[in-house]
Amino acid sequence: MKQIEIQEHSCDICVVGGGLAGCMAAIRAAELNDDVILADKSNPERSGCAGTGLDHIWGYFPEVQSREGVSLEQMVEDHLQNVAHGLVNRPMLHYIAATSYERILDLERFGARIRFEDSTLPGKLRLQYQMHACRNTLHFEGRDIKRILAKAVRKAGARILDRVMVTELLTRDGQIAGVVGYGTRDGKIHRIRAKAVIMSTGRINRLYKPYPGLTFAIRMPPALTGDGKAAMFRAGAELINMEFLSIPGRWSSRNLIRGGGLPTGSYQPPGVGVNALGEVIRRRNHEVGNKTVYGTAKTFATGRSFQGELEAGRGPIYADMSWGSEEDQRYMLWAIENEGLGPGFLHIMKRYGLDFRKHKIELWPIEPEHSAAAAGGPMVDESCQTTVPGLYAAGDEAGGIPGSVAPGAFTMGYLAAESAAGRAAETGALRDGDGDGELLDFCNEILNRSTGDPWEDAQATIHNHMSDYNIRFRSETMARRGLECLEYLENNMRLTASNPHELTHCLEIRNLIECGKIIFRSTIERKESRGEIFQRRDYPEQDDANWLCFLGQKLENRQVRFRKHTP
Amino acid sequence: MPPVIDKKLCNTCGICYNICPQDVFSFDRKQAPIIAYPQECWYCGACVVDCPKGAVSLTLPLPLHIVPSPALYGPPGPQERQALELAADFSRSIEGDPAEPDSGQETGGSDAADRQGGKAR
Repeated sequence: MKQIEIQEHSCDICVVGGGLAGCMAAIRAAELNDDVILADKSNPERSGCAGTGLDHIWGYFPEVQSREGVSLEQMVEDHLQNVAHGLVNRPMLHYIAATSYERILDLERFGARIRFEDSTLPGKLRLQYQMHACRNTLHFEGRDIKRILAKAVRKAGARILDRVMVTELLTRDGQIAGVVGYGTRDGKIHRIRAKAVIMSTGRINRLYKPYPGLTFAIRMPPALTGDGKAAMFRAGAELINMEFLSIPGRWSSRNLIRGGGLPTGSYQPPGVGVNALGEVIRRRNHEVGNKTVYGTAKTFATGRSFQGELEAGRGPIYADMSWGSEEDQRYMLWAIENEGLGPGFLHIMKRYGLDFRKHKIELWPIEPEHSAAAAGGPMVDESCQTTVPGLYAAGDEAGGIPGSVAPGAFTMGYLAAESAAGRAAETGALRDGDGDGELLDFCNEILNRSTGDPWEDAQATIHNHMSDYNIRFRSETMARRGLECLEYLENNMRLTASNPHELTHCLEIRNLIECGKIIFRSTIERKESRGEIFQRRDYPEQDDANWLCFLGQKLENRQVRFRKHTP
Repeated sequence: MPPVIDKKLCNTCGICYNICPQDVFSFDRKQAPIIAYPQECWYCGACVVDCPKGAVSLTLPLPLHIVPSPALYGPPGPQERQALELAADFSRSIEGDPAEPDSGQETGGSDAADRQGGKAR
């Protein structure tokens, strides 16, 4: 019988996931400790949500906001009420808002360009409206932000272990002892002992059926499959908000889905959203107001919605970005070039003879997403520590801070590193931990199986179960059926893999099923509806008296326990 | 075949193979990388941006094609020009006489006015 090869490593601090949060964590950790490993399933040079760019970060910019009469406290309150709908880890939100600008100045030190001659604002910053009622989102040159950060990680002295998918945690006496990953190219198990671990593997992006019908044609990175959240749950960390969906019904370019802001967003001063008759449904930014508008049925300042136009027989819907001066067009192209997936979009436009001056871009509501605006993940304290001592979480990985996005990644990554460095300094020798037995069995079974189910079939099954049982007709009975179906899949799939690339996908399937089950269980437990992020057919009303709280779910002695936490 | 490598331009440096977040390439250091998993491409464009020789381009599978549709753009009239200036003032960090931000109420602009660039206020 074939046995998977195991390679041992050790370090003081292990950062898992090399996106914005993980890179910032690795940089700060390596400034404070000389034995840091950054493990990434892909390569920090281009991995994560900002792999091909990031053109906007929100924060509190004192010189600008104080002039506009907005205090830090007011901005935090605005986020709490309007972005997080009252349900947020307030101390962490405050920390993010207060220190985002400091981290942006770090990015400038690392080599990112954030100042522009055409701006008349203090500091020559380009600031936009985005989620808040004040101008607080920096527009900057972030196409290569990941390359800049990866360089800073190496310069700070952290070791990068790329193409290692961490999928399990090691614990000893309830405390963190390390992580276990799978080499997506070398096919080995990498067991990394560590005194402190920072998880930053981001969102769960392959749960729901994508509209274009292609598994990898989605808005956020398809490589992100909830590996961190699943691993932390199995290790006993308490997860919150897992039942919520993020921005259901957000619109993007039809089929060739992009991030950024088609048709909303800050970067298209001359852009409008129109129906098939050429009627303007979403006016220009200054007429829509201070905030971008998300959601299927959200009405714009015209009193009409894209969804409403489709239902009234006036579809399709288009973004018409043909307007404005040459300078406006240049600005728009500059912003798209610097936002994630934007460079690919512009390359494709050019290659296929498309031009914003000449062509409208058809829009469509994209598949639901998890995390981000819903903020499902481990509960963290003021130091970014989860409920497992020595285990920290940062960025989209962490639960409880809706809309923290890029500034959440930078600030929490930095904070988690400081906390982890403190922990490592106080901890004695490295210890052996437990927790990888089931993972090794799972891998060895696949290695020794010659025929069975390809991972693609299991992926399609997950898409079906999650989309059918957890979107339109959400209820207790539907969630119970969803849980049953995922458990059936788990017990009956006989995955096969002919190489490490395919075995990596099998491990992703294992984590997606884990996350799906957590979601269904929390869905059954939360007996209310809560805005657009959680609609139940059997409990259509919001119930603040009982449910204005985080719903925690954790494993205790292999039993699932729920707990309510008032934020 | 999502990424396509022009073998005449490729210098076999392996950067595309090293940076691809989806790991779609295979590479043996002697010849141009092979697209081993074309169906797993995210169309992010990292390989296009990072190729030092400009040897990589993206080709879309049919379901992802953007079917062209003509835009509504026309030469701006005076009202429309003013609206576009307000839009630019609001959306770019240039202070002068910025538009009063709308709180989301219906402004009463007709569709015809919208088509000409929105109702100027």
